[in-house]
Amino acid sequence: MHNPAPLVQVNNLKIAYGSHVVQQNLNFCINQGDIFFIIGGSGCGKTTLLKNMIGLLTPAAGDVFYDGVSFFKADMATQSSLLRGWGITFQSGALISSMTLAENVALPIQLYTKLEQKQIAELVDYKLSLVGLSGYQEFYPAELSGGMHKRAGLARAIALDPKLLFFDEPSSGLDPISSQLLDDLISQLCRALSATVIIVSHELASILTIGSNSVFLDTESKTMLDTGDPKRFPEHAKNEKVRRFFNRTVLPNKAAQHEQ
Amino acid sequence: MAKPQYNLAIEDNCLTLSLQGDWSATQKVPDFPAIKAGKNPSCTQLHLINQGIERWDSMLMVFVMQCYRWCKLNSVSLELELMPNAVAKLLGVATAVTPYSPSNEEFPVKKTVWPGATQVKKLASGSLDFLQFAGSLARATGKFISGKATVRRADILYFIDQLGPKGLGIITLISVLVGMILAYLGSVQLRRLGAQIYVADLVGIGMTREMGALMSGIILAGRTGAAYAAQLGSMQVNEEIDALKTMGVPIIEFLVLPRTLALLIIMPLLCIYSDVLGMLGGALVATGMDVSWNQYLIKTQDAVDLVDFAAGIVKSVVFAVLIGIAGCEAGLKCGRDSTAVGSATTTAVVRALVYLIVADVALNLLYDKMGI
Repeated sequence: MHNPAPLVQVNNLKIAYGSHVVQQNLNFCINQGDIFFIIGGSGCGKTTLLKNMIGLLTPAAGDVFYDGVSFFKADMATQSSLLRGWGITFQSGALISSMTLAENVALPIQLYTKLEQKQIAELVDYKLSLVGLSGYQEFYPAELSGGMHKRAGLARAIALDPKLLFFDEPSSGLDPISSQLLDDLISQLCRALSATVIIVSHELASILTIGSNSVFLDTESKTMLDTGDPKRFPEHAKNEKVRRFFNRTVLPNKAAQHEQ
Repeated sequence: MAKPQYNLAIEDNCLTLSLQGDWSATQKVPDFPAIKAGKNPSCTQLHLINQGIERWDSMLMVFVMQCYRWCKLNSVSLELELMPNAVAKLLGVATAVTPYSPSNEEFPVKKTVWPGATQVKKLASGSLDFLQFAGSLARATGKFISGKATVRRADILYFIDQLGPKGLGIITLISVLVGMILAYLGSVQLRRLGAQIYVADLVGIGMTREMGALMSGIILAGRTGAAYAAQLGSMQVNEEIDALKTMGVPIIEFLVLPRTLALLIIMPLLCIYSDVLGMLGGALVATGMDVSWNQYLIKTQDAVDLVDFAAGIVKSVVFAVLIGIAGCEAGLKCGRDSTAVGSATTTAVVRALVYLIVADVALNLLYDKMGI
């Protein structure tokens, strides 16, 4: 089998706020079916990179290609058709507070399909039950907990069966069990829908369990230090900083193995 | 693209649904034939079979979910081996958590004795809240005067800057126009009696005693009261107010006092400014109607004395406190989401306007009794 072209290709990307450079010389590829992690310490620009990739911010230099199409050189129509194929969840869920959960999830479905009310309701129920929120249709975001917000945000992101999913820190602020459940959910959905997932995270547990590809950003050098399967980072990362980052919490585990 | 279709076959105790076609959101997907199957009580198994499904997405899953629910209801087992692998996986995820159903006991239906009762109750508790808030503001002011309040001087200066210099433009415009309106109103009537010169009295007394304070009050209610409610409301949403509370910062002193103080300092000044500009506006109209600038000036000096100015300024002080209370109270009582900020702002402006008009009437009655 020949090597398929990468689904997403980031070329020489430089991201900045005005004259303040956040990251530069970013080059990496994301393949079909990857669970791709954007890793790095706090404040290194992970979320900013994500926002540049989805067009909420415009990069200072470089480009992002989706299926070979340049996002930033494309016209409005191409951009919006690309956006329609994506599902994006934000750090705190970003649910519209004046609408119920059902209305939130139904919003993209109503905008982009011609389904009837009854079928939309069924579809919304299915999406909500995928994230374990069936029965909460008539609740307003203000009546739900933070973890529920995140899951409802996920339900809205997958409403249109996107082939590319973006997550901004999906498990931050969740307890270990909920965050593990969310990880499971993401990887199951990804496999079942044959979707590609891009996740911003610094949760080592998530990265090492479900990640299949990644990029590691560094604050000091303002560029990426490594890219590839994160499972090899703890032992075989090229850069010592990356190994250190991964071994901070992996160490006790390794110590236990040594004892055996 | 072929239409999504299914065939239903019944054999012994086994139902078979063979699916074919394109089961994606671009097409209308058929409903599960629950009725037909329900008539066959001996069924124990429902097989779903992939007989040439071309493309599928969540619409197929919606159909499978319908089958699943029917099977559960009729204790029939659902077999999915002959469907795409992902279907069983997704169904597993979707049915892992039992749907939440709220019990009715949580929300007991209240019997209303009289439909207006809740309104009266709301009004009563609203008035009580107002008094409470005004009381704690008064206490904070007392602490401020004795120099013990937790207030940042920079805050007070910032709010004064926002109110005064930045609000001057709109006050100028409105005051001149209101003065002109008063003058037009009066001159139409007075000209019939040949008494145009009394326009100066009308505008002078009207602006100083009434319109100067009222117009600046209304402008600040919309401009500043709303801004206060929105600021404090967003602080509530961002948990900033919670943070301040847990740091032991007295909210009323730290957030409400500087805002209200700024209003208290600026409102009387704006009121005087508005009075003068209103008279100027009146003069513009009057001089266009056979009254000279000199006459107008002399007549105004005759008609308006310091008591009139003072009456207006007292009003503006009262209005300042009321606008501060209306804006800050609504902001602090704001809910936790962006919609709540909107309704807090609305509440603030509506309340401020009602307070202003009611207080204006009350003060006029008081002045009348005192013979001022």
